[in-house]
Amino acid sequence: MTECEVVDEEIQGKIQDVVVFMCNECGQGSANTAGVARMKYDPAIRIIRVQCTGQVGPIQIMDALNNGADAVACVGCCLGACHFFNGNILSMHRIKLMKKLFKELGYSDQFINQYTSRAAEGETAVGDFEDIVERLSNAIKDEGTIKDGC
Amino acid sequence: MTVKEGKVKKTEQLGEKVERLENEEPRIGVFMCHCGHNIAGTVDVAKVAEYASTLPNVVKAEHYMFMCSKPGVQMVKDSIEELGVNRTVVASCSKNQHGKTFARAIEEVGLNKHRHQQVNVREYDSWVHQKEKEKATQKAMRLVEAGVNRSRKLEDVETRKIPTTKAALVIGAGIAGLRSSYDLAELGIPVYLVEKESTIGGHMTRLNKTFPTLECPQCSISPLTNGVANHPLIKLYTNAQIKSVDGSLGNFEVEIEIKPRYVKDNCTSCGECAAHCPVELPSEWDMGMSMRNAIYKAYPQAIPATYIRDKKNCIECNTCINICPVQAIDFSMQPETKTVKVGSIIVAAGYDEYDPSEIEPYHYGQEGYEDVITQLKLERMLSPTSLTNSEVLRPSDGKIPKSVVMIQCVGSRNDQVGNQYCTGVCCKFAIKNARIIKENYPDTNVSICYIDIRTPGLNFEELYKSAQEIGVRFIRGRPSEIIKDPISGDLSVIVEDTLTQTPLKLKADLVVLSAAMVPPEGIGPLGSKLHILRSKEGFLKEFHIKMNPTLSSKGGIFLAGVIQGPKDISETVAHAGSAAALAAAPLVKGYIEREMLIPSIDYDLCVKCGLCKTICAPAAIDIDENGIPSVNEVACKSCGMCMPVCPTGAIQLINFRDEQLLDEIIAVSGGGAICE
Amino acid sequence: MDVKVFQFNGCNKCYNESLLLKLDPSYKVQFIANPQNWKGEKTQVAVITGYLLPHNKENLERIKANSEKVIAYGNCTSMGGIFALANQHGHEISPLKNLIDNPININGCLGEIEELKTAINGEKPSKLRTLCEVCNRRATCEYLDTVHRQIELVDNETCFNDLGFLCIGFIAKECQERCIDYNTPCRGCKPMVERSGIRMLGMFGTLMGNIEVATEHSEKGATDKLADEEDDVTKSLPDILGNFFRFSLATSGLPKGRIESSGKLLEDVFIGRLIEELPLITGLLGGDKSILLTLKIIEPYEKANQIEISEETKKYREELLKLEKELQKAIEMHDAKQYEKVTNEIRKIAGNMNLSNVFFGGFKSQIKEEDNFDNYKTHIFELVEGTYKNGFVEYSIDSNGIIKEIKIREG
Repeated sequence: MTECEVVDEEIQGKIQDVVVFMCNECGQGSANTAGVARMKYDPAIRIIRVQCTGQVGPIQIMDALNNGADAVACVGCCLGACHFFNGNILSMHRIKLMKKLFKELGYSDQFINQYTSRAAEGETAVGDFEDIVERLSNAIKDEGTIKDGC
Repeated sequence: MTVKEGKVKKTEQLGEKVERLENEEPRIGVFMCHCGHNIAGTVDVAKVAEYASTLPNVVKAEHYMFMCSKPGVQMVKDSIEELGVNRTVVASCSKNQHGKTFARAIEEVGLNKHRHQQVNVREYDSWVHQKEKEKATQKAMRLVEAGVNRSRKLEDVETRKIPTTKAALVIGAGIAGLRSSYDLAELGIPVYLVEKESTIGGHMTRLNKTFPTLECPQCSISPLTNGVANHPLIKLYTNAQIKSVDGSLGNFEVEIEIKPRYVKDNCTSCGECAAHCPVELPSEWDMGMSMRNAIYKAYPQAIPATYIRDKKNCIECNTCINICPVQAIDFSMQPETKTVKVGSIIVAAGYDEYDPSEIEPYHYGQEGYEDVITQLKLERMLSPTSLTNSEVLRPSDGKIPKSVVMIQCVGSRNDQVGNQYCTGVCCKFAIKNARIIKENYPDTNVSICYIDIRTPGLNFEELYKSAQEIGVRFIRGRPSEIIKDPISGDLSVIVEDTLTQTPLKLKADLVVLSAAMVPPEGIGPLGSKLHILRSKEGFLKEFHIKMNPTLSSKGGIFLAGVIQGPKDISETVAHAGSAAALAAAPLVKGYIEREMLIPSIDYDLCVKCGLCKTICAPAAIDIDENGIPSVNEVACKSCGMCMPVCPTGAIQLINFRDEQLLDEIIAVSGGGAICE
Repeated sequence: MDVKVFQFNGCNKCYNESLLLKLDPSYKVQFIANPQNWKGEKTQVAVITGYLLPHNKENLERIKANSEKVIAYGNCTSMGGIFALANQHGHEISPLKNLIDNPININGCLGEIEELKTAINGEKPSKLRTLCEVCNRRATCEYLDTVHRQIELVDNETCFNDLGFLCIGFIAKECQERCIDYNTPCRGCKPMVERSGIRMLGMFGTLMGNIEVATEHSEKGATDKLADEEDDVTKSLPDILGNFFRFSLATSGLPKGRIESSGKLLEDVFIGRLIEELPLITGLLGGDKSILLTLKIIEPYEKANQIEISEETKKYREELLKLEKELQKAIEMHDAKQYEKVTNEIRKIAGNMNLSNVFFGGFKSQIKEEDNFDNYKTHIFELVEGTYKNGFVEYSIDSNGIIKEIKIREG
């Protein structure tokens, strides 16, 4: 095993719980499609069903982080195709501000993210999950986990 | 939940309805499904069930081969009857697949179906982590714990039957509105059809031929116009508009304002009045290609055939009053307001042709450029009822043009001026008209300047080919300018043929602009009266572009035809038929069933900011004169978007409250708080 | 009743305000400015003021053990307050409730003396209205197209938030200081809900729903996702922490900041804040020198950027400085009557003890009926990058108007 792989494994070990809020429409749909197609993704991904990403506010995001999540993401319908008009866009605005807030606190802004997916395409959900994990590992590599330094 | 005294009645009922079962001790039954090998092959189901049994309030934790099978469902039912389980958690497949099976089962033995919590360990766990058995089992335990946590505080949600008003309102009597009205009426539903113009039929009656078969549009539409005008269940209001709309899905109350025609219904349409009227104006219906009087009928075949007086331009000489053989003319008629109750509303307000005068280099509408016209004007010239006897004549000198240049994408596909979208029908009608001109005047050169020719669908490519074969010239390039020779007065179109990269100066006796379809004037105020949302292009926004293109953002209000976005006639008719079917469904059934999965409001915390109303897309939040919000339970779509918006957290969607989500979040987040 | 008032760290405004207890003969008040040296004796009521650090725990426990009732008076004690902004730089300012069990909390900056009396007497606190209910401005809460950092003082009827000017009064209770009456948006010193900053973030983020956000295409799943580049949304709120969490950073549940500390707690509070918010911040934490500190911060900026100030402005500012001297004297003499008189005078000019009315270039609202407000009205000013100093303070701001460095001479 190379040194690099050791580091990677160490980081992988630090990714335990990633809370993903998925909307009842495209979010859940794409994750179900991914399951049916037996696609693979990191077992740290924990999906919570919500009606719409527009329902997820900074309160839920902070609840998850305060209770030990390593990262939080919202997955909604594609932009312009929200089943409840514009919930995904509103959620995106709030997450933008949350990211900014974390930067101001001196943390990476990669602990919180927003994605979209398409119900018929499982790979969109898996792509999102992989991106979450990748961003999180990079953040951990650079500055440690969100829990570090306490 | 608390309700301040003297608050809106509606919300007091709400208080009773979402009454929480705080006193009842939760007794949770957890059922872990093997799904054959689908789950059990990866997840150690026995271990998960064992873990579940240690969780607080869990009175039964089982695992079984197929929970969705008859014995499996019976296990769930038995636990309720024998152990007094009052909340069930089944860890198997997705909510969509078997969530309903178990919800129905617990309902059969007397529990509210919302007390069932489905945990998806198959799609979200065993199927996607097949190689990582240990981690998958750990994850399943977390997911089950989350389900148990969530189920602990689940509230009962009532399903209510709400009777609907068996009548529909259709706004706009173009082809879309007519189609919808007729289809609804044929289903036995009374229809109020409101048209702002004096006649019905819309843009289609103006056209010369319809593509791709070159049929006569008047002949195609007349069965529908006559059918609607004579249908016993359709009440037609022309010269009318919507004043206000109140209510929601199933029960709307609409005020219609009917402007006076100043001619009574006993008009025999003899035309004596118009013949003697001294005032002459360009006809709007004829796109200014002919004249009308101050008392007029839009066109000879107009329905209703009753004449109408243009009050603004009438000089009140009273000639018509005196000459009318049946004394039908009455200048004292007043506007009327009618209130109707309907269950569904269809908006079929159509479109306006884009006004190209915005595009400076094309000089449309400017003096000296009378020979620059739009396609609709060309249609009027070509039409059998035209002033020119179907001849194409230059507006400036009345001569037959020797060269015609058509410019595509005027107001479409342009980031700088006009609109970004492709109107989608201009290529087809330009090709159709080009072919007709070429057929009628073989000596006339006809060119079409295009960016891309878009003729998808059956028969359209053939139309394109036939135009090419007959000698219509296609030039790929967007013209930069139309110039006028100062001496000869001839028009030329400056364009670069981008295929050969040659700059061209095309001499044009007549220039025809294929103008875009744009949202009709006045759609903004209409949209806000209906409380429905518009897309950024200004058309009315559909509920979902793919899965529900006819429903608007608000339940019970449907979109038909171009008002949702540019369409050709066939698409419009299909869209209108779909709108009619969807609008009819709750009315034919007589009631709608609504799960009262709606937000509740804590009035002690509410600061009356009104933001919940602002973001509520289906306009389900009403604010009274004191600024106090209340939820319209029928209109609500249970999206929960009002929750994070509320600055004090006063509005909470039941079963998705902050504390209920928190319980679930705690279980999956793994513990070990970040430092504060 | 036997009352002991303890001043811990930071600004001493609440401590001074408790001087007013002396006007009521039913209280036997004792003031303890150095609780570290306090030996401990039995008392009925202990009132704690000032911000608290973990090393104060021992003292606090001693106070708790010796008193029947412990009251956290003022924001710094009850919820961390403005000094807790230093937690962004890794400091550990905690509210009293995190250090000892079940204190009675009185929020507000300043803490209100009537509420303190109610708490001392053990009466039930009266129910307060929301700030919006007592505000003259009305909200419609339409989506915003732009967000502003400063507004012209022309509209007195529209809610600040509707004007695109962040005010977090939505979650605040009515208060005595009433910054909103002096054209100053509320920063939520008396929140009516827990985690007020986070809730307001959700609300304001939604309100900005019309503003375009940067998105990008992910390579893997090919779906839209949030781009990490700056866009109008994040640019228009350069200091979320300072504006949304001004008083509640210690209680908001946010993780401890990892920004490197400058070494001095007071400076850490300022770093990252916005230039236009400075007068209010200094007004909030300057204690009995807040007027001097505020003016010393305003003046170099005005001078360097040719912001003209009128004769009237100068006159009123001098008057304020004079009043502050009198105030210090009254505090020194423990003269409650004089204290009350002088603070009322200050309020007449500065609006409140937080100096909401004092701003760059003049004042934000009319001081006297007979005055011509236009003569000393403040206007929108430009944000100019640079270093500003006089003998008292030195600070530098970047092109966004964010404080990068600050030095305040002690004493």
